[in-house]
Amino acid sequence: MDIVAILSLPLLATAMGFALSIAARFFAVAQDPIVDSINELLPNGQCGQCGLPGCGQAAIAMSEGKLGPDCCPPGGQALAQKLSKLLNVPLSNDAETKSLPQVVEIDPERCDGCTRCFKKCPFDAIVGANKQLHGVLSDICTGCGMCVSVCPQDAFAYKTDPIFSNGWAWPKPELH
Amino acid sequence: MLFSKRLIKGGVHPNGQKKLSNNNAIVKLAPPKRLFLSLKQHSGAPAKAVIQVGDKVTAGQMIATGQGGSANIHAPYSGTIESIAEHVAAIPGGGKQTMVQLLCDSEPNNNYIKLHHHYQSRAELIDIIADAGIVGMGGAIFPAATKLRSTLNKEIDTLLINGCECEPYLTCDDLVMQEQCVQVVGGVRYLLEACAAKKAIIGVEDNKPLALQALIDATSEDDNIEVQTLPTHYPMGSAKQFIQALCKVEVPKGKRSTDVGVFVQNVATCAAIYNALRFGNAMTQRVVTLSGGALEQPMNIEAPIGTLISELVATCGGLKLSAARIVVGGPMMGHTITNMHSPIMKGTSGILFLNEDELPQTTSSPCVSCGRCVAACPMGLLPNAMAELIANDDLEAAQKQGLNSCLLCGSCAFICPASLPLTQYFSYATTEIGRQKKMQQKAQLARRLNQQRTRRLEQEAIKKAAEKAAKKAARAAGGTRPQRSPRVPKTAKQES
Repeated sequence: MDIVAILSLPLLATAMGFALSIAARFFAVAQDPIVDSINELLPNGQCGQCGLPGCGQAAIAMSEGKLGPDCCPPGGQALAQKLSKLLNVPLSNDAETKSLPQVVEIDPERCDGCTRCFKKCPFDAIVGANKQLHGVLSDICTGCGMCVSVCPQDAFAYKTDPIFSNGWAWPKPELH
Repeated sequence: MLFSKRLIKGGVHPNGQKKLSNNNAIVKLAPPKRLFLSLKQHSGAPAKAVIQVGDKVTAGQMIATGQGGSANIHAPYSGTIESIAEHVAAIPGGGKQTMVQLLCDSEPNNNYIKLHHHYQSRAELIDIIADAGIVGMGGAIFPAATKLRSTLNKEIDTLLINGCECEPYLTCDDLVMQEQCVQVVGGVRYLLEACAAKKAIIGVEDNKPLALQALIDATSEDDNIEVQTLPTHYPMGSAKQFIQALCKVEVPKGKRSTDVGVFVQNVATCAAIYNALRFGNAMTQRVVTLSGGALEQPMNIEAPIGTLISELVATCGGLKLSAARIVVGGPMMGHTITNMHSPIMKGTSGILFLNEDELPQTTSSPCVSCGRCVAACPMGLLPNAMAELIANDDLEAAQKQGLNSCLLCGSCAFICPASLPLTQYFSYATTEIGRQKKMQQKAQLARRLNQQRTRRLEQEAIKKAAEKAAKKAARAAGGTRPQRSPRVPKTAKQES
């Protein structure tokens, strides 16, 4: 009787293992593994600036070649370069993709503390309270513009990211 | 000489132009009326002002304290603090820095506040150097005490004192070695104690015979201090090359000189250390070279930190020609400024007023792949290949080629027959890589915050649903409406 008890569990485990491996093969959802790699890089703000509702869809579209590697404004040039390397797609050289990363700032004269913007901010980059002046944490803000679209006071303005506008740096040499 | 083994890799031989300014003794500047003391005289975070506008300060009084590895700043003369405001600085790009504006007393008060300068241990000795606000005067402007503290848990075999001054035009270290050799050697003795090194070697290029002789005389009684002559060869004075020339060891990539048992310090810094430890004087003065073909009388001036460049020019008798370019530092690694109303800082070794003939050709032509830059690079890099990668925005590949090892010494751009701005490419790429790294960190932070937010919203939704369900259940069971809880103002934002 003991032998039945000892063998029953290993046998059961082996049988289930086989069943699982067969199921994994037959019921697998085919997805390009590159989608995951792209998703890993994207900021996941779901801001919709690429024209698609979310970052997941954008990753699929990029893997299918429907979107370029420079489609994500919050990610900026750094992300575009990484994606272009990952997807093996060259970056276009027009000025628009080379524009510096942007962040938003709130005009204190206009903000009336309606809290619409910080509820919308996908990155918690806006702080404030009811009827209080709101502020943007430029260390976090990706310039996705979700807040700009909901502000009834039109209090938002874009400016260059302080990482790029603070201090002076050697410009890239231009050859004559 | 022709067949002697070269001490360092690569390098160039620019025209020294030392004779312009090394014939005259150091001139001591009369106390200026106003001084502008920048709060960022050193590498690292800016110092924090400890005085208020309107305060009376005495000479030697500390006006700003170093924080997070930065250096203290002291008032060179007694006077009144006029303002603490932004003022144009002699930094690349001509930007502004926060400066303490000091209106000096018309009759200088001779009550000089001395530092407490008695010590009983190495750590205490280093503390005095920190109190004196001494920074490396060789170019890196790194606080000397921070550098010395890193030797406390490392074994230092040799102390190297850098008297190369390989940049053309500059002669301030040369004159300091000639006139203040006692202070320099005294500082070397203190440094030997501070870093517990067995011996010290003072390395001086052979174009400074007077300085060499003065040092040999001053060290005649020291068995553990040696003076060595080095060939005149740019960039001999760069720390890595200097160590290679004197100790025959190469500092591995990504390591510091202290990792190979060597500690390097500049000669003028030694003199400042001596003044601090022997007399309790804070670092409030320095010798600056004023030179260049456009200057009436090139000379070396000992001036208080914060003196306006325009006042130094006046001491030199003004300009005899129109200055086509004003350079702070040496011509190889310095940077141009446009405003003479900026003050000198602790790290300002020279100010050059170059005339039209002294400028390099600026129109560049395509690279002909002659390879001279490769031969000239003291770090064994491929400047032409790296510049091409950077021009094509492939910064990552440039880094793989060794961009991080670049000293920005300018040898490649100096030797380039096509006058390509090679060093400028590397300066650009270095800052650009730093910015992109910051952007990457920012993106990661944004991603993390977004995940936290999503989780929080989910939890809030679950909580809300549970509350609703509980209310419904209570209503169904009791039949009466539950009493409304007192209204609590909604918190605007939950801590994530």
